[in-house]
Amino acid sequence: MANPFPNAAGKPSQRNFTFGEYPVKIYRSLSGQTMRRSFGNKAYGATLEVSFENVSEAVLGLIYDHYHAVFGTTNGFELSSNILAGLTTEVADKIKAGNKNKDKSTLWYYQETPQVQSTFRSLSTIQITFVSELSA
Amino acid sequence: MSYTISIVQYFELTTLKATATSPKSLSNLNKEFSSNLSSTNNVTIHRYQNFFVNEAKSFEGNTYNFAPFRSEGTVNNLGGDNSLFSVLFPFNEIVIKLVEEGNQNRLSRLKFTTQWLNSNYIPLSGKVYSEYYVGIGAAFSDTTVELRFRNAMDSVSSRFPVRSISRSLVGLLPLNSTISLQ
Repeated sequence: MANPFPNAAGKPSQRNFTFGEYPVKIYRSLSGQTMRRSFGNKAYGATLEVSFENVSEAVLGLIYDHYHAVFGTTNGFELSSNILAGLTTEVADKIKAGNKNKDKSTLWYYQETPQVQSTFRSLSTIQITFVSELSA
Repeated sequence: MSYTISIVQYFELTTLKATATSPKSLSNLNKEFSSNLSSTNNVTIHRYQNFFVNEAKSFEGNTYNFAPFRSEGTVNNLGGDNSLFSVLFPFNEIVIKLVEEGNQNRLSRLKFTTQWLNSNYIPLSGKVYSEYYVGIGAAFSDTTVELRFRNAMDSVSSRFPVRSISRSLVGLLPLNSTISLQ
């Protein structure tokens, strides 16, 4: 996949990961009984919130360029290894691929526009939320 | 007790490409609908399923690729005619091909099959239901294309076989209520 998230942006200072969900609709009757209908066999919508605290303008520039290279929230991409630094390769590969089989059935997207807070001269804190979506 | 159901839907659309020499109605398509239809000139069969993402599934000897469609309900009436059914696709290459090759989905025939799966997504034997429709057009929006169909039985009420009410047809008759034909 073209335009992976730049590894040179480094390791994030904080990271929150939320598992993806499966397409299920739940009907709850008045008695409390539920019926679940499953619509697919792949999970989607995992989110990864990362924060780069007090990073240089060089890092800010890399992320800025990448955001525009994928046209914001338009195109998907692969995560960098550094984004998932600290995890074992086994787990990191599953998260990057979006499933336990590591078959790369998902791509990651910017869920929203990254937030940049200037903390000191030439230093910024950047908050990004990625979301995984099933690829075609 | 709560329960879960998993359903895969198989979409088999036979389209007849409109050309200067092809018929302008489905009459010839119906006549030619046979096991070797795919070899007929100007006829294409499109097969898709909507549960197993990015997987090709074999069903009744044919391969169904994944397409993210959904079906929307049908309305039945006593006459059996004018039962409308629609299949909604996101705006992608697949559905444009379906629409264009079927002359805006007016020269097409749909076999729509529903199959139940167990908790491991293995098909349940005997839980397969098929319905047949013919295309009546398509509707477009910014993000979706809706293929519209009516049921294959195009009855005219005056010619439709008359059914008489009997106990076997309606069950036990109530003393006062409305009767629902089954």
